[in-house]
This record gives sequence, C-alpha cells and structure tokens, in this order.
Amino acid sequence: MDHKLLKQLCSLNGVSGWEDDVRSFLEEKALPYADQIQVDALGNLLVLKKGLSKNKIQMLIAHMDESGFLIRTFEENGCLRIGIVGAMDPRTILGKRVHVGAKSIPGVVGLRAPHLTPKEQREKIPDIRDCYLDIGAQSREEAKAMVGYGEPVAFACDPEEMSGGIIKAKALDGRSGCAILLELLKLQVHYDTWFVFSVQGHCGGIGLQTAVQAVRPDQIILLDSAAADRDEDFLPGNGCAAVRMYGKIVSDSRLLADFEQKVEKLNCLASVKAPMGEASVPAPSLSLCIPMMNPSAPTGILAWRDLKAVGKLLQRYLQSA
Amino acid sequence: MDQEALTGLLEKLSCLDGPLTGSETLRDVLGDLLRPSVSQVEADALGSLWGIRHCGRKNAPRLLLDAHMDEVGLLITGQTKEGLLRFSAVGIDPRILPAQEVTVLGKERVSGVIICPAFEQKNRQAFPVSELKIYTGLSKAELDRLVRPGDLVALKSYPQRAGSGLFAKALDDRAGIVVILAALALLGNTVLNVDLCVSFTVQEETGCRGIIPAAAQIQPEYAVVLDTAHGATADSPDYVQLFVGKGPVILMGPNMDRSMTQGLIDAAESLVIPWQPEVCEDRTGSNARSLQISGTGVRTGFLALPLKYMHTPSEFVSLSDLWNAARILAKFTADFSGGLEHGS
Repeated sequence: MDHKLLKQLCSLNGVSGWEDDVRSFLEEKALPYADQIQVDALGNLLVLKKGLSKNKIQMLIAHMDESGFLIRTFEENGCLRIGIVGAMDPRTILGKRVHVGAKSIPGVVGLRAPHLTPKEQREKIPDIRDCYLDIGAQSREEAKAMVGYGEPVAFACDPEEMSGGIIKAKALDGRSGCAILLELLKLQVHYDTWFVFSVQGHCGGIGLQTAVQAVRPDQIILLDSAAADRDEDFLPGNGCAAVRMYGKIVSDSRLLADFEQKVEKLNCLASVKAPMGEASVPAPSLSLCIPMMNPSAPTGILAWRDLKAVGKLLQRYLQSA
Repeated sequence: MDQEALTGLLEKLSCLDGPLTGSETLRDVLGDLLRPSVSQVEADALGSLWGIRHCGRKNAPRLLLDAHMDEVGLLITGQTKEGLLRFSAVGIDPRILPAQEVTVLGKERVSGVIICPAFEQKNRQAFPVSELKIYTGLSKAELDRLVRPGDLVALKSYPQRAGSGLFAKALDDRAGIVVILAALALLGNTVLNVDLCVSFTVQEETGCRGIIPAAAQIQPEYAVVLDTAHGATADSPDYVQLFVGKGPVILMGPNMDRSMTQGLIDAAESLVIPWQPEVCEDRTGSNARSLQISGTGVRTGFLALPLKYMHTPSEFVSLSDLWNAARILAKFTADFSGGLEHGS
C-alpha cells in the first residue's frame, strides 16, 4: 500500500459536489490500468477492468468526497455564514482552520474567546447558523471579492504519519477506500469489475445510487472507514469488518458467505452510521469497513495495517473464480 | 527591523511550544534574541528571562517592559487501559478540543490527536473534557516510557497569513514579545534616561504568577505590560468595542498608573498613530495586576494588541497593529525619564 498516494489524496479538497480535483487525480492514476474509463453526468469516475470470465459483473465502490461547508451569506463585518455538508460532527469544527472557496483561501471557524462566553454557553455547541468563518476580510465587499456564494469550504489538515503505523488526515473515510481501489485496479480480476469512485457519498450516496443504474452489477462491494455505532470494539489495528447495516444498506448473507468461502472468515460489525448508506441499491451488496477514529471530524485516524489487510482480502476475492 | 521582519519573527515564535511554564527551547530562542540588547540575560527558578540595559546615569529610574512567554495548554492527568491519554485544560474553551491536534511534551515530543466519542445527531451538548482523550498511536509500553501525569501539552497549529493579519497559536503573548523586540530594534543605540529592563515571564496563564518573583528581583519603579486584548468577532457581545486593525490598545483604570497611561497616549499622538482606548474597572487579567502590587508598588502602564479568538489555535492579529505598537513603545521609552509625581 502506497503511503504517499493516500497522503496525496487526503491533501486534496473535495467537499461533496466539488470533487473535481480528487477525480482528476484518480483519473490520471487509473488510466494506465483501465480497460474502460468514463466520468458520468454527476461526476462519478467509473473504471472497468475486464475479467477472464463474463459470468458476473462486480462493482466496487468508495466515495471521493469529504464533509465540509458551503458558503451561505456574507456579514457586514466580512465574516461568512456557512452550512454543513455531510456527516460532520458540529462539536469538532470550532477553532479549526479551513480552505475557503475554489481558490482555497485560508480561514478559520471562529469562536469568541472563553473569557467572553458565559459559563452556560460554554457547555452548548452553537447552532451552525450561529457559526461563522473568518477569512481576514474587513467588510462584506472585501469578502465578496475573495469568495462566492455556495463555494465549498474544506478543512485544512496535513496528512501525517503518526507512531504505531497510523495515518492522521482529513477526508480519510472515503479516500482510504479510493486508495485501495486504485491498488486493486492493477490486478487481473476474474470477473468484469467496475471500480467506482463516487461523488456525494456524504449527501446520501448520490453517486452510488446513479452508478449502480449505469453499471447494473450483479453484486456490489462498498468500501469505507467508520467508527463502530454502539459499544463494539472497533479500533484502528483491529482489522476490517463486514458490516451488516451500512447506514440503511443491509449486507447480503449469501454474498458474505461467498466472500468468506473464497477468502476467509471475516469479523462482523452490526452497524455503522454511513450517509452513503441511504442509497437504494438494486443488487446484493457487502459492506467492508476499516476502523477509524474521529470519522466525522477534521482529523481522522486509521491504521496502515488495516488498509493493507482489507486490500489483501479484496485481492483474493477479486481473483477467485 | 520592519513590519515584514516583525511578522517573520512572530511566525517563528508562534511555532515554538511553551504551555504554562514556557519551555527550554523557547527560553533558548528568546535568550538569544534578547542578549544583544541587554548587559546579560538572567533566568530565575520558574523559568522567566530578563535583562537590563543600563543607561549609564547614576540612580537612573528603572523601567520594565514585560510580555509573557507562556501559552495556554493541557495537562496530562492519566492513561486509559487502551493507551489513550486523559487530560485537563488550562485556559482553553473545551469546545475547540475535539479533533484538535496536539503535541505532548513528555520525555520526547509526542504527536497526538484529541478523539471524541461517536456523534448523535440530536445532541447539542459539548463534550466535557472528561470525555475527550488524546490518541498517539503509541503502544502502552511506549506511552509509559514517554508520558507521565503532569506532562504539559501544547495545541498544534501553524501560522497563516490572511488579509492584513495572521492566524496562529500563542499570539497571546508572542505578539507582545515581538513588539518589545521590535521596539528595542527601533531604539537602536539611542541614549535612554532610564535603566531599561525587559522580561519575558512564565505562568501568566495560570494566574499572572511568573511576574511576581521576576519583579521582586528586578525591582522596577515603572513598567509597561505588553499583552493582548479581545478584538470584536462576529459573535462577541456588543460591549466588546476593540477592533483588530484599528490600532494598538491603551488600557485605563485603577490597575494602570494614569501618568504612564498618558505617556503612552502622548507617544501615540505625537507619531499620529491611531490607538484604541479600553477601560477596565478592576484588576486586569494580565501581569499588570501582579506588577502593580510588587514590593512597594510599581507604576504600570498597559499597551495591548487587539486579538480575535483568544486561547484558540487560530488567534488573529493585525500586523500593522503590532508594528504601530512597537513604534509607540519605542517613542515612549526614548522620551521617558521617570520622576512622576505621586497620584498624578
């Protein structure tokens, strides 16, 4: 698993609906290995790898987008009002650095000093409508000259290796899956396999919903990273798990059995919260997740070991008859 | 020294870590910066630094310029059985902590990320500090070797210019330190009428403590404190009427000596530099509160930089405010000769 590749992926800004830079990067990397490559109407990147057998069409999918903000309005004093895109925990955004707009202008999610905040209010998270971005503009005119309505705001977080074989980065949830798909693209697969890098996973699996209509697969494997929903132990280093309920998508028992028979027994997790799991998929699916800390926050944490592990499992599955 | 050099210095100092008690690295760098301007650099048991520039006149009055080198931070309180670090926060709003990157100053510097429990959509309560933990990736054995309860933790951040200002951590009070250093550079070899003392003190953030023994040793008669003041933000209460970019702040009130205050105002006016008044009815939340009552009393003035988002990893100041504060301070110091009447 190429550490540099995942770090490059996580340095790009790709808030849901604005995945262009991520898609261009992936397209360039996928091209040498693609039998067919296309970008659909919504911006999904679809890459076909022809198999040795035509008996089945498989689809593997990861999402390219990250959770962030969109600019809603401009205040007299030059600050911007924002709305949250995707599954961002509003309790993790205060005081964080961001890249604002298509030109990645530096900014901050402002929060007045604790000295100016009455004690009761320090226990509450402000509603997102009361939050604001500061980009150093002193007036509405100055701010409007720098950024526009509806432009995306991504968190600023340098991908970094930490002790114990850990990577810390933003946008890790979907991009880790994208990095694995890129690796798997190099294989000779047994069945025709569509590798889908989808848009707007955070907006309810928009890309997933439409990609399955285009590809019409016989089975779908969803790849993501998540934290366990309840009290289950699912920490970085624990390896990957098959998730029964990925959002609203229920993993198919027969597909899971097929996977386990061809590869090995998998750890199972009852459920994870997943906005991409709101999509309706008309084919049996299996969701594989690797454990992640701070999944809905700007600084996510994953273990390299888990990424390698799920990559190996999928490699064996894709190459078996 | 010009505004650009001042900015570069501020960025460099902001990147150093010195939560609560300063740090050796910070002291080394500050000592090197101060040394050319004073006869020698001294340090005390708590870690504050200072030096004196003698003017050569016998019985010259002593004027102290002070800024604090410490920043807000966290304290490690223990370890969970999974190897996550528990901590308490000093001076920091816990709402900025979830997902914040930190540096644990243990036996070695250890990078960490504050992780938070899973998120329920309807929950509007902030995470209390007790529910937050620092994740380092280290094994329990390594953690035991490198980190102990009581170890200090600094927020991790980086300087970023935006508009005509700078986002960075610890601008409270590295901005004050840089203003003093810039004023010294502007003064050059000017002959002064006072023995000028400069102190970079520790433990201001734990209650203006480091200045107490430092002042007892320096024994100034007069002092000017350089610190930061709250600039208005989009969510600040109406009563906050200071604005980043509209000029340095001169504080007034019983904690400040009226002659010293007037001296700062005169310096600003003579240079035609816009400044902002701030009134504080009680002791200020700065080293001025401890300085005023040091020994038999020190006549203290307070020159401040307006700053937004205090005590977060992205504090914000205007670089022209800093440069103008340095000019005011240099002028005040050059013109000052003590001898103020009591109660003036």
